Amino acid sequence: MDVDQKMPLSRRAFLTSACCVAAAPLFTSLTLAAAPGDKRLVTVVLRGAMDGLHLVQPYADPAFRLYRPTLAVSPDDGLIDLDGFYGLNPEAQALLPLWKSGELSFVQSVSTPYRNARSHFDGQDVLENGGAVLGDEKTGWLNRALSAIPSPSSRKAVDVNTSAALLLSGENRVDVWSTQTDLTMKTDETAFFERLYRNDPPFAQAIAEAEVIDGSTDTLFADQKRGAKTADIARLAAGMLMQDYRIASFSITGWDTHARQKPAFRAPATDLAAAILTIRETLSPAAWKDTIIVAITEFGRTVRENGSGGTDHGTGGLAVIAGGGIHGGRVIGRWPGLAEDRLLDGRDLMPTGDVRELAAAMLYRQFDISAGNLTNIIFPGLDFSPSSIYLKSV
Amino acid sequence: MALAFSTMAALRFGTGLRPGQAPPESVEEMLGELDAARREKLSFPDGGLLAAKDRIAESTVQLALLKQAGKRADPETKRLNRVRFNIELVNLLTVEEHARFTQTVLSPYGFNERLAGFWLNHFSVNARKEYFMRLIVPLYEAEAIRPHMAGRFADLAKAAVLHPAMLIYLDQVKSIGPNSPQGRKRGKGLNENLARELLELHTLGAGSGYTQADVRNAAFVLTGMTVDRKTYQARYSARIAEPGAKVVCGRSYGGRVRSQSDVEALIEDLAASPETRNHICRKIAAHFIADTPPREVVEAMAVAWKRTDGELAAVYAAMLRHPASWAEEGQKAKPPFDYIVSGLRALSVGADDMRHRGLRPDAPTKAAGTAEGAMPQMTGGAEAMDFDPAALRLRHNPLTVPAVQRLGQPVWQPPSPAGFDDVFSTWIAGGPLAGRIAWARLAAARLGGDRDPRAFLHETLRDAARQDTIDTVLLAPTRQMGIALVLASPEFNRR
Repeated sequence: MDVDQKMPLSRRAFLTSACCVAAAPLFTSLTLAAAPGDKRLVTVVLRGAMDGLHLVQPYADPAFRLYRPTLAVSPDDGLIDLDGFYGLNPEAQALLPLWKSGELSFVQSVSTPYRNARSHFDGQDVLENGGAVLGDEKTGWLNRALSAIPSPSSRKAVDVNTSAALLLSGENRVDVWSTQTDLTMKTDETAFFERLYRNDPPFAQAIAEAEVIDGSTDTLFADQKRGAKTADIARLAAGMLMQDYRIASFSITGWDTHARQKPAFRAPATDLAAAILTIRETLSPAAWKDTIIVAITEFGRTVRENGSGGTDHGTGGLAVIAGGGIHGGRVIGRWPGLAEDRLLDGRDLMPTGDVRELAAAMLYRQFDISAGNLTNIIFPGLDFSPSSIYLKSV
Repeated sequence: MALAFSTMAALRFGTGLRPGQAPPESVEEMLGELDAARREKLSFPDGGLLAAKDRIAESTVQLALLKQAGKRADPETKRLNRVRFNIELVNLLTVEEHARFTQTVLSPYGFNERLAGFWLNHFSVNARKEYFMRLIVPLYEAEAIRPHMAGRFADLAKAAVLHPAMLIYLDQVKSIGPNSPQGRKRGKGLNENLARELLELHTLGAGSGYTQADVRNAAFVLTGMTVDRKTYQARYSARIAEPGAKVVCGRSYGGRVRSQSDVEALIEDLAASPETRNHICRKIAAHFIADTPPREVVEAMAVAWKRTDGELAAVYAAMLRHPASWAEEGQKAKPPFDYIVSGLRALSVGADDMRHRGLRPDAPTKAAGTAEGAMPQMTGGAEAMDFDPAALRLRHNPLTVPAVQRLGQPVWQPPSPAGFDDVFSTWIAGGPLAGRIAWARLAAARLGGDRDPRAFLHETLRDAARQDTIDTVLLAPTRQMGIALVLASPEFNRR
């Protein structure tokens, strides 16, 4: 009987064989400075369903205020006009300079293919696995993307997190590093661990890697306290992008604003602005030019406010793009309108774009991943071509 | 030179050495554990299976009352009461998560505990899928997984796949036969999630030859299985079952009248297929022995499976009796839960050291947080202003529940239906190793006491201790550092 003969060549196994280059030991290259001109990508997962209509408000549509009598902000109350139709929530006003300098855009009314159930858990799964339906894919699309990046030096990715998020989970090697991971050792103490591991190659490699990252994190934070706040996470992510990492990912939580949304929105919106600005500050100007940040959420929220001054789980949502090299200062994507008959199920913003297409466009732009790989391996079944409106818009 | 049998039994096939607890000296002793463990009183769910079921029933009543009261209450009060209710469920899970450590750390049956970890990961469910899952998942492990680990694979598969935890986790509760009475009335349809994972993950294995049509037909056969939302028991409802016969992998199931026996027949047949046998035998061997396990061991296991129609005890026996299973120690990396469990065992930790930390000292006196937690009180607007959910939450023990979360393996919360990764490279890399070193230092500081590191090294690793570790521990400037070095050593992370 032959047991191994029947071993399935699964999608996972295929990826393993296809990605051996990416999985090869890379720790020595950590000491090399980043080559200038290398493209970088930061994904930010806005967990809890960010209310895009609250961040970027279609104030010129008279229906908006009717749906949201207590939540809508008018330009007279501090809403920051963006283009005569949309206005930026004042809680995110720190982002205004980026908008003005063309380094920030918003993508209107995108969603994953997930429909009708509106569960955070499942919605985030679909957002991260990149499949057309729940359970289609077991790995994260960003991990699968690593196999498809032609340039091996662009395949190094870090998940700034306490444990690996689905988005970056899969066959390809991804480092997980948290702002709280701190060796906090004196040099003589480190020497003991180096000695402990010196004859065990994977451990020797891991401790060397840990020391380099830990050292650069220490430098990065210098005399500042290494906190676990979003700005700390963003600083760490950007610091690693200044090394030889080219892809970084982290999450911002706190968006599930079912009640008292006006005050509840402050913390996550401030975090989002701080994350983007911190990355920009931490990167060199040249690296910032080569970087794109894309912030995505599992779904949007109801167009109508609810009885608690909040909003409930919806469908169409908003994505945020920032970067030194984009042609920003625009709200991209087709606006579906707020007329009653234009709402999905009479309650949600009608999605007019697939958030996976946006992600595909960013991967295509930054890493030259072929359209074939994008639509077969990374986002199976996605409709994407180099003429995507999301590519023309950045 | 090969390690002693008992060392390998404790490290590779067990939960690590615990001073004062004798590791098995023979394969027969290890297999005997499986019987003995069936009489063991589990540390979870709190109070036993019946108590856990009572809590579920009580919670459904509480929730119904809350909804009733919510009709009269203002939206803010309604919201706060729901938040309190949810915290209550989270707290009940917190108690169980800590108890799962207690169970595995204290049990003398290490091989049995490892099997529980393996099968829990094979039939993965996630306690965060929805709020009630926080109550159901500990029960799932205790009643669907553990009692069936030494029986027939088909029985284990039926118990796991048809448990409410799995039916909820993989959306079977949302699946309705389009031509069933309910489907025709409500226009709702099929959900293929459970069917797909049943074939791909639980039985046949990815790429083993089944088709999308098999997945879809299996989903039709599974219709009817659902969960009673009052009792949270699994039940079969003919009103949502798709009528007609469906063919899965060449066999026909069901007919004009449908019943749960169609579903059971499907799982029996899948469990009996050679693809399943090879898939599962290889996965067990890869879990215990090496990421790429010795082919001859997998073959011996498959032969035992075939001979006994999938009696798992016979399959384990075939693995344990094969000499290749005992060769080349240390090829696997312990995943975070097993790493921490073995560290706590090495440190002879008792039940008291593994408890959760209760509520914050300044928490409101009538707070939720125990198994018999009170019905959430109705609250007014004034209280809402200084409502602090964190004060109602049980605090975790920093050495256990948050530690495995930080290291990447939160209890009962796998990242996907495929479970946690089980390969070396996932767990031994820069960030994860730094996390393990941090844990080793914390554990040494909190629990190391005045142990002599050299004796500690001998007691916990015996002949598996490597020369580098022996030398480094000898040079350690403090006892605490010595203990931390033992716990962080490669051979303590390997098995």
